[in-house]
Amino acid sequence: MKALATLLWLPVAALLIAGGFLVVAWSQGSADGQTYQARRAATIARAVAWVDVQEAMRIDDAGKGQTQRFVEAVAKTVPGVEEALIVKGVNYKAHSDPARAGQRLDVESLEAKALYDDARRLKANVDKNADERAKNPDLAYDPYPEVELRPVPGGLQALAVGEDAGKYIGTARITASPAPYRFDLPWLIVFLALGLSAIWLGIGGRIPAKPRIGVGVAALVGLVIAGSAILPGWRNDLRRAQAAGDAATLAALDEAGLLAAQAPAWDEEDWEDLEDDEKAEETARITANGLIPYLDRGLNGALEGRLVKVQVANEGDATRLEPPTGAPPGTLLFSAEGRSVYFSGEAFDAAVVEDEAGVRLWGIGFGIVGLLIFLLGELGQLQRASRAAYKHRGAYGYLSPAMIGMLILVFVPVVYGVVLGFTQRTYNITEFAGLANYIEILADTDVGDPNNFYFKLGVTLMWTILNVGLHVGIGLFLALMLNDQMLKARGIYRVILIVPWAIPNYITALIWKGMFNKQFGAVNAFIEMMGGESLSWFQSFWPAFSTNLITNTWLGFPFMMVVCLGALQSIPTDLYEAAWVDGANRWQRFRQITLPLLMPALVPAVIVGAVWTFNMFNIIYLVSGGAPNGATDILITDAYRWAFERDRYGYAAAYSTIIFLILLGFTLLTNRITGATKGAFE
Amino acid sequence: MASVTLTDVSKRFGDNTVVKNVFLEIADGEFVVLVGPSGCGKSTTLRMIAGLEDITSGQLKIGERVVNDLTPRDRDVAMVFQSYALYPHMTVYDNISFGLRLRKMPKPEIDQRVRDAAEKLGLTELLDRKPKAMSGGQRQRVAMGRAIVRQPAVFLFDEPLSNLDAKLRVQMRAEIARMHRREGVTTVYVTHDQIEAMTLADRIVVMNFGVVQQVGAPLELYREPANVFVAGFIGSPSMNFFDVDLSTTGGTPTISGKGVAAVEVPQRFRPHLGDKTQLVLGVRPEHLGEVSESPHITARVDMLEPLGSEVHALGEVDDQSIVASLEPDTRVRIGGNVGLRMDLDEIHLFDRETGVALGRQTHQGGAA
Repeated sequence: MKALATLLWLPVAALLIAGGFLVVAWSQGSADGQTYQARRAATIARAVAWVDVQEAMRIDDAGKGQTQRFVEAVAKTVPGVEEALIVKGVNYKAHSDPARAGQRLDVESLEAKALYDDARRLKANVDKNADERAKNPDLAYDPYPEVELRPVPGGLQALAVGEDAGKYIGTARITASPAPYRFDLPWLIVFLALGLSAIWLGIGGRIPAKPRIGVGVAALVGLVIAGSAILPGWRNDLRRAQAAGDAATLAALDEAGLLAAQAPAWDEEDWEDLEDDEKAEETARITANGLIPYLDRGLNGALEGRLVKVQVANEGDATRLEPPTGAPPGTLLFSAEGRSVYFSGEAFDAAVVEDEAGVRLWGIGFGIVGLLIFLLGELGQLQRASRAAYKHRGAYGYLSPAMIGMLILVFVPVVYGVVLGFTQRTYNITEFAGLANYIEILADTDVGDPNNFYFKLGVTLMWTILNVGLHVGIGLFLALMLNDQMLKARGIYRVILIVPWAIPNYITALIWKGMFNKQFGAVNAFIEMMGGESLSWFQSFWPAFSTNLITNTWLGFPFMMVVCLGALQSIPTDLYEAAWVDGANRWQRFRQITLPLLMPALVPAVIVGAVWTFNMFNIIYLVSGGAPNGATDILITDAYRWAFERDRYGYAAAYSTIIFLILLGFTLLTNRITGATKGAFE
Repeated sequence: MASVTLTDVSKRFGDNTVVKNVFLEIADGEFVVLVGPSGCGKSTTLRMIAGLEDITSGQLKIGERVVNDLTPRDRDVAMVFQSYALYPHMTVYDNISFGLRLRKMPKPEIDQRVRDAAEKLGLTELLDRKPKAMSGGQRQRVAMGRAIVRQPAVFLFDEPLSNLDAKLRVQMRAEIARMHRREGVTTVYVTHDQIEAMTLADRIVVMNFGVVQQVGAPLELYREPANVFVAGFIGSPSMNFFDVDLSTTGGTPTISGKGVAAVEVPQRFRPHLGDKTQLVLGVRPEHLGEVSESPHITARVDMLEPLGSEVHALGEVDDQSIVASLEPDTRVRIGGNVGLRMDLDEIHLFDRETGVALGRQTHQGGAA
């Protein structure tokens, strides 16, 4: 029975590893799915905006009405598109519901008002960009302006702005339900894990105890390698399926383009009556009008360089399944409804290589966790832990309300933050990004740049060390003064000195910021009164840093003073008298008795103070506000800016995780060195 | 080593005089115990000798030096505190050597002295421990070791045994006595425990309300207490007191009082009677004997405390409590009556007004 219990650890570890791979697969699959839907909606919205631009650019009337026809066709031919429209000012330029084309927006309705506001905002962006470019000709012109996406009930809404070299043409908006997207998880890895477990349970008991651990480790390592091999292949299949989906979307758009581009003379039925070669001829004419070349060229941006060519091929055309001339080797072909879309095989391969690296990393992670569980289980550690948990179940029962509270209020947000660090937003949709954020943060070694992580780290460390040093120094000095029995009215001094601590710190921060004001601040007024020259406190690094430092010193010393005062009062007077009789003078009594006996109280306070100061958001944010140019920002304020000013939540979460790891390391280290959590008189 | 001389020393905290006009000469090498109830000024006197309290008036000399204005570190005294006052962050070795290190003594000599002291006190095994990891008795020894290594002129002990349990206290008492014999250093020892005082002291100083009541060798205090306070304080169980009135019947002075049958005043008191009529009769429990006929005192027994070698009978006589030390085979039972006879050679008579023992008109060391 005991032997079986020992054997069970390998299945547990194996299933954990397999489960880990499944979770990665699931998260990648669903992230891919989100990107796929986003890409599809963005592509459609851009095509609509582009067609509108084409119509607007034409001098002749040949394209007149093409946008409206295209919009109607898109709603008809592209699966899932529920609504497509173009809005300019207060009018629908085009609408998939022909009745509303050319109508005014009903700005009374909330929905139309929202559309109007969105369009206004995008127009403002275009105008602003054009202004900036006019001022600075070096600015690159982005031919593929950003598409805005937002989830709506039952699908996605995509807004694309149409512009012609800085001139605003209109805003396209489409609403599409998600295209069919399914993926099967790579169950093979689970079957492998189950098979491995079955074999192990069959023969593992017969392997002598010592080599058994080795065999188990080897088997688990094998499982990790197998998983790392299976996952990229599975992902590649997924990607192929998506490419086929992309091809279908492009084909459908192309179809819509054909419908839109036909001369008004062609009504639908007549068009259907045309022979294939006549259609082809007409199509060539349309192509010359520009839609197909745009799909060919323009959607490259949306498809991240993977699209090589969209080509219309006729039924029976021998060349249609061949890659176009000049296409890179390995180009993949997808064909839908008589149209062919080519994708770059190289881009595919590059993506697979990248995937493999990522999967290997995760595999190593799961492997380590699995092996740890296996080894701890084999060696009996986990059994002991669970026995202890059972034995003390009463105690754990009493603890459970607090533990559940901690779990919900502390553990879950922390884990959420850490997980968020492994994601990034693309088309404002969050997707899995592996270690990309961490690499971006840590690999940038341009330490002279105030926005560089290491620069910020340096500022933060200097900030922390100077602050804590001043807090402890001033706090200890004042505590010694206040602890002197001869001092009269100690209570009054004590209250006065604690006041800076009692005032909410943002109020103090704002008061100090005001006092450092160049024109009206008290500090400059004082300097001028003394005959000095007033200073622009927030214009350069050191003065700005000093404003933060002064404010935080003002705020921080009372805490250390109170800690020291409490600790001082807990030192028995006997000890001083004994030392005095033993021959110690005042300084020796301080050095040999006071200081060592303060340490047990002071060291935890210093650790806590260092952590607080390291993360002292309010003062930095409110006093210097990072001025000049973010140079006086510390890590935590910078993390805030990444999240809420630059909208990079994943990056900010990774940043915060790094801050957490730094502080964790610091605390463990100082705790180890000083034994701070030991009792005071141990 | 040195003598200690207190000349008219007083200590006031504000309006509160806690030590009044103490005259005391402690000879070189003498072991003097200051004893008295809580708040009697004994600790303050000791702390004044140590230099931890200022002297309000008077003069304090250690050896030939007037030390009134010297800080403790310059007085060459060593002190053992009630709480031991061991430095919690230092090992035993560091605790003991602390004073020597402060005096910048060469390392080898420090080591030698610490090891000698540890040897004497049985601390050699414990030198690397911290105070927290030691028992009360061990800490007490460390505190003594810290005093010994200094080889000071005067040892000061402030109730050093009061934090120990009874058995350890007996043991450590012997240890302190041994140490004093061995080192021969002038020692001033404060305690509220008269047994410690009796067993350790060459001379005892009994204090009450900041005033020295009597100074003398232990047996002298027991046999010839100077006043009611000393008589009641020294001796265990303490002396029984009865208010008595003096009358002269047929030329023989006789005392009698509530619950006490008339007794002729022993010859030795007669010259000192003067015109006093109101006296206090004091008789120690061990000087009361059980008799079946013509007792001096008949007491109702409330409680019996058999100690093996004797039985303490606690009883009542006319609303006054009384303790008698009886033979172990006594037939007396709780609730019964017992007839007691005083050993008239051992009774004490005090002036009821002043509390002073008859035959001793003044206190030694100062007036009340």
